Amino acid sequence: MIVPMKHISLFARKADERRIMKALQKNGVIQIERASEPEEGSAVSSALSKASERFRAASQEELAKRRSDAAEIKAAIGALGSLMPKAGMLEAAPECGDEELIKAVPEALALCGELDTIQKSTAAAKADKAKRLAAIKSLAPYAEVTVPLETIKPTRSARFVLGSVRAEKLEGLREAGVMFDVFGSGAKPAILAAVPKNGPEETEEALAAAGFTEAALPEYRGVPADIINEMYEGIAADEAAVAENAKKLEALAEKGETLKKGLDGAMIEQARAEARCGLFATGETFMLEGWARSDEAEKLDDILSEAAGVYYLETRDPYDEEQPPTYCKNNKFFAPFEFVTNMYSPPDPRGFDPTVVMAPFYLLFFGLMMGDTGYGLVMTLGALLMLKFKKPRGGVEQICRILVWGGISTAICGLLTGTFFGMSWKDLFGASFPFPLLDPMKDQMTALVIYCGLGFAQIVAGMIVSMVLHIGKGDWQTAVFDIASWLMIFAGLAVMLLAKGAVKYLGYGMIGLGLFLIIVFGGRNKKGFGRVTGGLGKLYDITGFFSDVLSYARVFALGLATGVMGSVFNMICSMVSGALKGIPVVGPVISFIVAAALLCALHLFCIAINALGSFIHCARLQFIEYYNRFYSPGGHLFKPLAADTKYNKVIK
Amino acid sequence: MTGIVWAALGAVLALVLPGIGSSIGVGMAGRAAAGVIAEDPEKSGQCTVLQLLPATQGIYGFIVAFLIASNSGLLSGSGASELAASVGKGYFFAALPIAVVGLASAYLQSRVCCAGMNIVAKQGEGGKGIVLAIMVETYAILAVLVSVLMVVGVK
Repeated sequence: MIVPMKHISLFARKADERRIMKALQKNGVIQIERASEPEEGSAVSSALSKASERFRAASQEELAKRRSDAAEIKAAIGALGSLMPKAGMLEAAPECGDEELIKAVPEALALCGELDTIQKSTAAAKADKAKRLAAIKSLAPYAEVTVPLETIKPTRSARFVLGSVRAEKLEGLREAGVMFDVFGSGAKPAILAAVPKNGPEETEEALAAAGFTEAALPEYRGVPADIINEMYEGIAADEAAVAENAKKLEALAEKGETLKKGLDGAMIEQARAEARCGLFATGETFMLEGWARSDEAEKLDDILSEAAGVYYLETRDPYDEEQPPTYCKNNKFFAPFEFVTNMYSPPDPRGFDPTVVMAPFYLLFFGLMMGDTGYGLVMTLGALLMLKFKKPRGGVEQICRILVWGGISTAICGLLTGTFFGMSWKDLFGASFPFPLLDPMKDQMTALVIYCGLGFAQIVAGMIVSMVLHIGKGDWQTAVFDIASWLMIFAGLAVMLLAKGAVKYLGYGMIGLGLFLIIVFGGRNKKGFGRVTGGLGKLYDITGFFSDVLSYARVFALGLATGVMGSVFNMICSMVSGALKGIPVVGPVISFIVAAALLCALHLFCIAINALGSFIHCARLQFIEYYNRFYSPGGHLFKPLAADTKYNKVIK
Repeated sequence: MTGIVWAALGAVLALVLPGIGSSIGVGMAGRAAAGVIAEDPEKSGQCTVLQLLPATQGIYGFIVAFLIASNSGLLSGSGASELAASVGKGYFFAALPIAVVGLASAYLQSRVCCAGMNIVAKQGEGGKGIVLAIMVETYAILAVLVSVLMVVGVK
């Protein structure tokens, strides 16, 4: 059922604004829209614009701050990622008051600061290590040089170059009269050569001929060996710092709860700041506009009088040209099925909530598509466990609730037309076992006719809903000429096929009347020649009925697919088990373990893939074949300002 | 060709063609999904569902292939050599609907899935994209229905 919306205009003192917004968010009652402003250019507008602009600017600034807070904490949670303690598979989100969450924000931001410091320190240590490693690499060839590097300076008569040369060239250099010292005895020892200032060419040429490579060393001080040692010490310190930082990160991740609370708190504040930007303010007062459910409009006074001393609240029905949000209210059984409808589109706020007339068909066809008692029991049990322990919220909760009932429906349909974990009932309990009542693998035509017949029933149900809706709107012409006429033809066909004797003529009569109504009145909105062709054109709708009914063949196909897939998996497991049994001594044990594990895995896969397929294909049948007849989509969901969180469940 | 060769050919086609289609489809959709998840890891759930949709055709093909192999005696080996040529041809033609339609449907469905990833990326919800993609699967479902019924019915 769609709950009508009330338009809300609230005027209150700016001093009370924060308290009011907090109270509204806590109770989640108003969807705040951008408040309408006085017309531009009017006297009121120019007088108010300064105050309102200041307020808007402040709100925008606050929103930017809240957003950056939330983003920073979110990034920190992402950075700590795998280090943080993981919630168990069936662990529910912790419960927490909104005040506590908001209080956690500064704490979380402080943790973000710590995290930033640690990350920067780690990055600096890593960069330092890289630099030191490069230095060691460049110094390595000169490790045996015993002269402190800073003492290699030009004298009055010569300059000195440090470099290396291949050992076999040393003799040649000596013969060329170059003066140098050799350090080390490797294949390419380091040499310190003197290049005389007057006439350096000869020496330089000799060095070049010997393949001398000059050392490119930055300003190091001391003996290379000492410098290298120092570098290694530095690297050890860097590595220690990185390790220590890793420990610090782990310690920080222990406080992940605070970060998660902080993020939720920041999200709450961000939502409020966003809503604030929609307010219109004067120097002393502010105005809030939005939508509230008509069944909660009375609660507003209680909430507001508690939060503010003075206020003025105006509620009214939406104007025709306004598009209020949609809120559907159903009981516990039907409510989850709103999820299915919303996948298509929420209903038009002035339309009709199809949940109640859709859910029974949805369950029926879902059950037939899955069609396996074992799978149904597993789904119901799994969904119940999820709901009991994980306590999911939002869409996941709704899917779980649908699966609880879908599983029961699947179990029943499995007994009637299907299998048990892919095994046929007759194989399990003997040929005299009364179930399944119908075996689609053997009586294919019967199964096809029954499934399409059920589909036809849903289509007729959709037409009846449409007829009732049209009559409710006072549009009896559409109800009679466009819908009742077809229903009459269908009923006439049924009478004609089933009845015997004179009653058959009643059937002919009904078909005739139906055809007459369609041909004569089908084109009633058209003029002249169009009126004739319009009526005949309406007859063409019959092809639509055919294709819609045949579309329900998918129920047959998916039901068959589940059963066959299950039985194929059983066959595979029995083949594997048979093969393993051949192993002497340990064979039976191994074959049991492997086959059991394989069975569980394959059947779980089968459930998952078929539940997904059934869920969506069943939804499609509702959207295309059923809603097509009567549903007016196009609403957008009622999203009141509320404490929407990610990790913690807010308790009121 | 003897009956069992026809049957084997049918089983192979039923497995291989939709398998190729599904591999291409899941692969394409997976690449698109990775793009969305790279921007926002929280959307991985919806993206995975969208990626999985073109996988079903391959499974349908596998079912038909297995049924043919099992019914014709390819698996057990018993009676395989005596399989009449007409029966074997029956299996072969029974495999064709899912083999051909499965290939096309998986590929085309994955293109809708990739487009659906855009909806997830921009609107943050995958339901509508999933509904669009599932429309393409209809024909694979009809094909597997006919294939299974024919395989079961071949005498």
